[in-house]
Amino acid sequence: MENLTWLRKGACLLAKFSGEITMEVTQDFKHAVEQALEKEDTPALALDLSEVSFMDSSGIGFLVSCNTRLQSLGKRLVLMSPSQQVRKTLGLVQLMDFFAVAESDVDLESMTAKGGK
Amino acid sequence: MAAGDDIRVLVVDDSKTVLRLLTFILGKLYRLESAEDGQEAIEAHASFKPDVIILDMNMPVKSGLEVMQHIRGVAQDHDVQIVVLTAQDTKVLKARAFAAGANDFLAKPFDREELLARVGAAARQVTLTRRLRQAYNRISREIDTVAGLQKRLLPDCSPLFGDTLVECLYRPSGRASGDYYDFFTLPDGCIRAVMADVSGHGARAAFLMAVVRTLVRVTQTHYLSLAEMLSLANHHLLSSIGQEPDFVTLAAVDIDPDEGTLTYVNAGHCPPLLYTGDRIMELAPTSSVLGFFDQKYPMRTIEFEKPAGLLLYTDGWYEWHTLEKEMFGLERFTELASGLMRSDRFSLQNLLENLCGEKAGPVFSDDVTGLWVCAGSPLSRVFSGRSTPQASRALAKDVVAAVKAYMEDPDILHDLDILLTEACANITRHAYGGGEGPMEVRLRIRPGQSVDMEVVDWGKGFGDAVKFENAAPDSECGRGMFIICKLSDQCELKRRGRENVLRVVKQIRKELWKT
Repeated sequence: MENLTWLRKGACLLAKFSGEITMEVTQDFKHAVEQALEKEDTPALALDLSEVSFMDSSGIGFLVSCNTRLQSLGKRLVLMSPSQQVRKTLGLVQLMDFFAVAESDVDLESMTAKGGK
Repeated sequence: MAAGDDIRVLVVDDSKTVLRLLTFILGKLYRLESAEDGQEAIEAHASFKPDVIILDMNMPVKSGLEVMQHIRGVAQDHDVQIVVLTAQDTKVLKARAFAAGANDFLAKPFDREELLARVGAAARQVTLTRRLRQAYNRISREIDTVAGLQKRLLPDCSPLFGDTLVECLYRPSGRASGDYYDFFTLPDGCIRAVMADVSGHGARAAFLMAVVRTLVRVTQTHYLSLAEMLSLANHHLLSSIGQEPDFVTLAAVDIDPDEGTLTYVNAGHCPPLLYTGDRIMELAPTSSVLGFFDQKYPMRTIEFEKPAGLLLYTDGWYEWHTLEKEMFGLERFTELASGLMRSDRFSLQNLLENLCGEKAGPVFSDDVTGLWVCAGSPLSRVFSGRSTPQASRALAKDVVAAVKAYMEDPDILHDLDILLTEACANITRHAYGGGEGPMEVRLRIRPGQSVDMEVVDWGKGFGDAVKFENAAPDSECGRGMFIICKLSDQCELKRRGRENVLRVVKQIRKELWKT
């Protein structure tokens, strides 16, 4: 999938996406996450959303489904440095507090190490 | 029950003997209450709501004069009949009492028969006033009904026909009005727009307006040229009001936006203004008014280039007095409207605001009605596409880019981007049952005010499944409409013919627009 890069941050698997998260990409994105979770053993998945320029309700739906999927596997989803655009969309539907959000690598490390929010 | 039982009489005197006597004489005929000084009288007036007051002049706390000043001046009760009662029967006192609002006078000591006669006369006046009020209310309700019906005869939407926008503004000076405007498409695809003014006001003008409207609307289904339409209307008006002073002025146009032609007739109406190719043309009368005599109605055809705009209006727009007490006048109005039309920022609301100027707005004495037909304006555009995910998102982006030419605030543009993407995505997901079909965004930019959008599809319709509430946090879908409503100032779904229309208005503060 274009615009999507995977890397390791400590024990955590990190996916960085740049561009727009709309219904044009959510199916592919979901598929890519499924594949990565099958291949990699990780206690948490972090989605780096710092370079997401636009996100609509399909994007929200994608994040919610990721969260549910990871929970069912006993893992965590962390949103990493979401851009202003992502924050705005999540804020509109009052979901900013629903997701675990890390603002930095240190944040991410402490969140995934403790297993807490 | 006695005849005067529904008449309430308040007797006011500081002498208990006089009060007893008044109560004894009047108590069997009227509903009575008494007060012993001016202050008590004012309070009883508020609570008892008398129809007649027998009022002593010289009392402690507040005098009879002060009581009358309160009732007429402060409480604004001009209906209650006040019979003044006093021992000082002087001309000066009488004059002061009448000036303060007394209706009648009775000198003490009073004669029983004279008291009954004077209160009886006051009671008759009360009954007459009540009947008058009832009659007035009945007529008023009827005029309200006429005004309500009349309103329904006038279009109140601003539709787009292809790339042609029609906008209307209607401000009747009274409840029922003689102004008439209309627009509709003809079988050949042309847009017919009409503006008429029936002489006079009120129910009579409204009735004649309905006659004219019916005759004009006949031509929507049974094609008649503009000349034939006016002949038909004139023929019927002559047979009903030919001998009377009423008349109708009417201007009508057939616009073919694709061919770029406009055909018009003008029967004594103020000249519509046409903006085309950076110049303004006045469509001057081609014949005399309707309803006076038989005549021919020559039509004229002119060509126009897009963007073009046509303003049809009534004389109420310019027949009002400025602060300097002079008539604003057609010349100044034409100059103002022409200037705005040239600036490509014309809207009827904008025209009204500019008319208001900086000091004070016009106090219109007549009905104010306007119709603005605009072909190919960058402010009114239609964006079409298919309902695929890619095309749907691209459509939203194109619309936002068009708005960006007038307004660059990133937050507002982002709001528009989100709400349009949601609206278009709704069509992609739901309108065509999994398949794809056409979709449109009809954009209307109102610089300095708002962005109005209609997102349209021709699919199966909304049904009952539309959710306007926010979905539960763990729900993966169902947030689109909630987001659209949250980011807009008006949001409505409607079915219009075969179209499913989501209409969204986003108000944008004046200072955020490019100048």
